[in-house]
Amino acid sequence: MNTRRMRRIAARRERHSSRSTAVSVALVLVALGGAYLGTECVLAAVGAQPLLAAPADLVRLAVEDEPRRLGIAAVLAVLGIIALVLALTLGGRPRHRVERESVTVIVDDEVLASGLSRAAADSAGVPRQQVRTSVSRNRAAVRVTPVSGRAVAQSAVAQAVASAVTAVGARPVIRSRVQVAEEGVIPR
Amino acid sequence: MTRSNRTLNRVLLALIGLGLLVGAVLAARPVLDPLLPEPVLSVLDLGTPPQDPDTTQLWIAAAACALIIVIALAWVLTRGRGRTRTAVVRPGDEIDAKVLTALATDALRTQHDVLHVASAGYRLRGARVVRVQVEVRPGADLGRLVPAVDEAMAVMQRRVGLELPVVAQLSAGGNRTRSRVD
Amino acid sequence: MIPGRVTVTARALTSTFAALAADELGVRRRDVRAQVSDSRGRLRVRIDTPITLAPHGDGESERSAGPSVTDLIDRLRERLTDEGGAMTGSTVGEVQLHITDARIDQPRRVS
Repeated sequence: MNTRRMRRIAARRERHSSRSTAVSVALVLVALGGAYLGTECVLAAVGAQPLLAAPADLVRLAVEDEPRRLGIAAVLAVLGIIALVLALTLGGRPRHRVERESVTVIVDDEVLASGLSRAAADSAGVPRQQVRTSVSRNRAAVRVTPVSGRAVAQSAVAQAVASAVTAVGARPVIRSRVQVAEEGVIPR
Repeated sequence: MTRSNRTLNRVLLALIGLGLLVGAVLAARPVLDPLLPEPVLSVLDLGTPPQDPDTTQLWIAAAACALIIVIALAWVLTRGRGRTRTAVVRPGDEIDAKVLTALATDALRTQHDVLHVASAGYRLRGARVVRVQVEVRPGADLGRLVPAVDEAMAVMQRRVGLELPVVAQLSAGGNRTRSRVD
Repeated sequence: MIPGRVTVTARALTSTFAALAADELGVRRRDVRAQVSDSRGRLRVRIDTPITLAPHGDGESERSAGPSVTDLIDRLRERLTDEGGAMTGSTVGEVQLHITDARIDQPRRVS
């Protein structure tokens, strides 16, 4: 099949979580629970002492006290809903893609954001820690905290960030906005 | 991970979720019983564990537990299949992902913003796709790095001698130091 | 055993092919695994091996890149079939090559 088309399909697939960690966690818990219950059943079947309580007693403890029983129901319901949500939602970290000649690059938004922060910090002449960037699907919001006593030229920084965004060429297209805080800080 | 693995993962999570919800309903019976119609109640009665199980029932339960454990462990242990071989040149030739990793790492060795490179292959709609994971230093200049990765992937494919569908994933490298010997 | 007929054991066969592969690809003999089997009367040879490649030079163009992995395994297949076949006195019908790893190194031989 055509390489570019395969890359497109693969890129789309990368957007969604495989849920393999969730499944592993769930299965380990199931295995542990099954091991415990199985052991209690075998011990009860041969008439030996239970580890914690025989299965019959476990069931009795769970159902005899109504608040406890409803508490168990609530816990099970919450876990069940979490599992269903994990099963049905797409998941996956926020990312953008860049189509290139030999490869389709998929960039975590975290990486995009830190790159834009660096560009803004360099342009504004502030330490990198004084820039916060958040990237969403179509926007990049950059917030610069100036160094006290040194004004930051908002338009120059905005220009630098916009250039950095264009230079990456990420899709979906990102529109950037740079905000310079009113209050500055004195860097340590 | 193959495509079917992903779907199975979600199916499994859905089954576990539904099982838990059924358990929740069973546990909440005292409150729900008056609200539910007759046929539902008789179905639920089947699911209630007996108050005083005899030996046979206990052995059956133990066997069911053993089966569940085996299935669960088997699943966890068979994760990550289908990830070693990547490009098939023609029938009879196989090239492992490690080869691609070595070539990609070599091609990116001049990029100091690259902390680590890993690659894996998987099958998608019958064809093989390569995913190269690139861990990137915070604050990296992507305007320079992305074209460099593009070129490196071109070099990698040239040195393998095959055109491959490659997806490169740039992820945050945290506080790692470069994990390669230069 | 019929006098005058040489019986080549499987061990000798795999040894020969493995040594050839190690030499051709510039890897250690002990990193190469060779297996032989029958393929409709002819010999099927399977090699699992790493490969040695030269480092990527900066400013390297398409032409100066040196042999690709597929070039190298094509050469290896040919050598195993021709030279390997001659050395072992067998007709090699099929060669399966599985490259497990690549060591980027200084080139061992001048090509």
